[in-house]
Amino acid sequence: MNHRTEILPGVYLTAVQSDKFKTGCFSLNLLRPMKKEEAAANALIPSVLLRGSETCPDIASISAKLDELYGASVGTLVRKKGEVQLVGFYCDYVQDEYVDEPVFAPVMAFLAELLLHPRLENGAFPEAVVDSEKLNLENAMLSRINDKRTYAASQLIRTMCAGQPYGIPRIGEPDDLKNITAKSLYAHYRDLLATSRVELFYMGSLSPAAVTKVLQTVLAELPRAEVFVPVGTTPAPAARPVQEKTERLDVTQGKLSLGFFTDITAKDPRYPALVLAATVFGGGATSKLFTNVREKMSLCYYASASFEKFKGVLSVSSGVEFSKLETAKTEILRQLEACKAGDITDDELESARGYLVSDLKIAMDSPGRLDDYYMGQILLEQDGTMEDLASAITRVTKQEAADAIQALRLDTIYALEGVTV
Amino acid sequence: MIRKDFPKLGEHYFEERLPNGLLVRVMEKPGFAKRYAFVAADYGSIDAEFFLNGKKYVTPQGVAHYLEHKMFDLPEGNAMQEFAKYAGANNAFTSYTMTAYYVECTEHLEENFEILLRMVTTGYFTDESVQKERGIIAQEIKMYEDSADSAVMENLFRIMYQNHPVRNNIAGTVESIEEITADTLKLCHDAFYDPSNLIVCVIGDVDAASIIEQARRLTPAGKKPQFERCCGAPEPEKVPVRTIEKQMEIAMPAFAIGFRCPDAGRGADAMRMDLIGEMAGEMLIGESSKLYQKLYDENVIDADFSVDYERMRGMALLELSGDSEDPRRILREVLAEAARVLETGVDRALLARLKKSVTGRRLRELDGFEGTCYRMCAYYFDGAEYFDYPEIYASVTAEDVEQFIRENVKEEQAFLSVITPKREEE
Repeated sequence: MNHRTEILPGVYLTAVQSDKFKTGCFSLNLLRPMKKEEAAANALIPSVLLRGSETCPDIASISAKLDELYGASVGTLVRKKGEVQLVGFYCDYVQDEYVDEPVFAPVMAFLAELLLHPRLENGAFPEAVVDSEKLNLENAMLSRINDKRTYAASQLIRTMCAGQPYGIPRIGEPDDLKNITAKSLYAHYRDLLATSRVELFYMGSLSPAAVTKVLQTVLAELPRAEVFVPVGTTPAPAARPVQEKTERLDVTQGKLSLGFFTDITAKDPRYPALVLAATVFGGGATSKLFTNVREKMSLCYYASASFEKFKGVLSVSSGVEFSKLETAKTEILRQLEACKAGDITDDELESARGYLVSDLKIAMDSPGRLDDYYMGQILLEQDGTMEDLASAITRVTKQEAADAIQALRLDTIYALEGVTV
Repeated sequence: MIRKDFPKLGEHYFEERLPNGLLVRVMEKPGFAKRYAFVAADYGSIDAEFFLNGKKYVTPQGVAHYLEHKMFDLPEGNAMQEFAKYAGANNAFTSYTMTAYYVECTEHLEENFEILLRMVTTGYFTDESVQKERGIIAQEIKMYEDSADSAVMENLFRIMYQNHPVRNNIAGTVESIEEITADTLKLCHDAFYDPSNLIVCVIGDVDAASIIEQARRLTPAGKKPQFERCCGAPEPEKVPVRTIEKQMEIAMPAFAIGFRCPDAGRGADAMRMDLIGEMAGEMLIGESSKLYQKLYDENVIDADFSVDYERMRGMALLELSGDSEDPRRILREVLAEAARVLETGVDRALLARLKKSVTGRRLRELDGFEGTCYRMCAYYFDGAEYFDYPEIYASVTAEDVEQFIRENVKEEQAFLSVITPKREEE
């Protein structure tokens, strides 16, 4: 069972005890509202911190230190959940019982050093480090275009929520990096440490009490303000005429993405029904999109739907030949109408249900997915385990699924086409 | 059924070779909800040319991958629909050297495993369904064509190897798949999907004896065909092209540098070479090296940079890849670093530390059912026991690493592939 407690002011630990794994898993998350002014700066900070601490001043010495800890890994973590940005670190390491010397406590002590005692020059982050990580982050922002599948999905959301917090990309935009200096970033970092709620996730063989004790010690110096910056996600906007956007790039395969808003989020009692309906519509090999748009009509290599549970956005992504973009759109919408009308076979419903329930049970064996799920539940301010969700999905009727998917309203259509030579 | 124990890893498995030649391995993992079954054929995209019962066949590029798509067809319908009845999440992949099919589930392993065995051992190909798949695969090929990550490696292999079939893309080309018919698929299925060329691995909270019994009951007798693979003629000493560039719609130039290494053979020696190659790469330009630090500090490389030793039947390379504005400088610097290391000798303490790191990382990987199955099968096809790696790794010395660097990290064995962003036309 999970166990969430406040171990220091505004610092919460969710600990899942399990002796199934050789790997221990830990994440440290600072919670911030998604804001244009700080999204890029927040995303930059973990990368700057991983460039050097007081005792390990550069990448080579940090890597050497991690090699000595049996190849433990510490990576930057920048997540976007609804209108909340979570920035920090994750760690994977061999659990103590499998090797000759302790690993967990030294890894946590090192993580705390990276977080709290960065290498400084003249009272700020080293300028060369900040400049180089700014460049890396900018490249990461620009490189979104390299993978056309995820690019099309992110362009859809940017179009759909332009000017709103939800439309801000996970790591911010290149423009917002320009004014960041070593000094301004260091000031922001101090503020981030003091004013952010902190959520920690642990999964491994130690008891929550033992983990708490280690973390209370290593994080004792974390500065804490009187109040913490509130975070949350606003409901989907009201209906409006459908937006259409077409972009042209020199690509060989076209992409078509459709974005739908709904007033259903994971807090809504209809959520399990919508998850099931969305899976019937476009999740996996038995979905209507896969069996009709891909298999029967050979229209695309992929066509799938995914539901974002914080804001209530359903996105359909597909890869299609340019000449078939319009046909594919018509067919995708036709399949959605079938779902809305309750035109769902028992096989389709039960396959989707079986797939979802099995997937949730399998996820309970995955430290990464548990971390992600619990962080989501914390942001939604609800308890519920994956097992609870699985049993709710087990009870959904066909009518409830059809009713839930009727809440979808098409908002934006994004197409990526080739250039005419 | 025999039990093999690997006390250093805290792991064991049960194994049986069935009379039809099929090898079945089961790792019992009590307490996990997930049950995972994996069937692999020792057959990949590089096996397009072969001798079967004394006769030579040259099959079109991309046939292994096409076959993977069509294996889901059964006389009673599509295997995916069958899996769906039992909530089996299934998929498949084709690599240069392996084709694998797998299913994961919580309940109904028995039913899902049966479907998996049935689909892999049933070659059911109709002209109509083979024809219909062509459009889907062509779209998949086009998707890879738009991916810089795929293109940079494919181009590297193309200039490094004039004859070895790794120079052809795994999925083939839109043109080459035009030549694939139901007969081609049947020929390749008969040759390479005989039980004697397959391995089955099951991991999870399962009973080994009943899994093995099920495999015995559900797999055909098999014909144990005699085939011989062709890996192309030996590579020429002199190579005309050492660099290749291509423009694509990307933001940052991507690169891959390859140092051509000799074929590492098979079995334990090849596995040992995997660690030697990995250690050499780490020492020269791994994250804890001085060179990595310098290039990172000067923004020549970023966190996506990686160095790996990769090999398959008939080829091996040390491969450096990532995003960079100046890949030629990386090549120059790594050659200079190799010269420096050979001058001063490999740092023994560093080697010990890197081995400690690799020990921990390999142990952690054992948590992943997919990766463990994959590595077990890949090494089995290679004639090695994957779980013997602790002993094999322990035998790697600083001299081995020095020899690897001396023989391979040389200008005359270096190749460079670059993808640059398309310039805006005025």
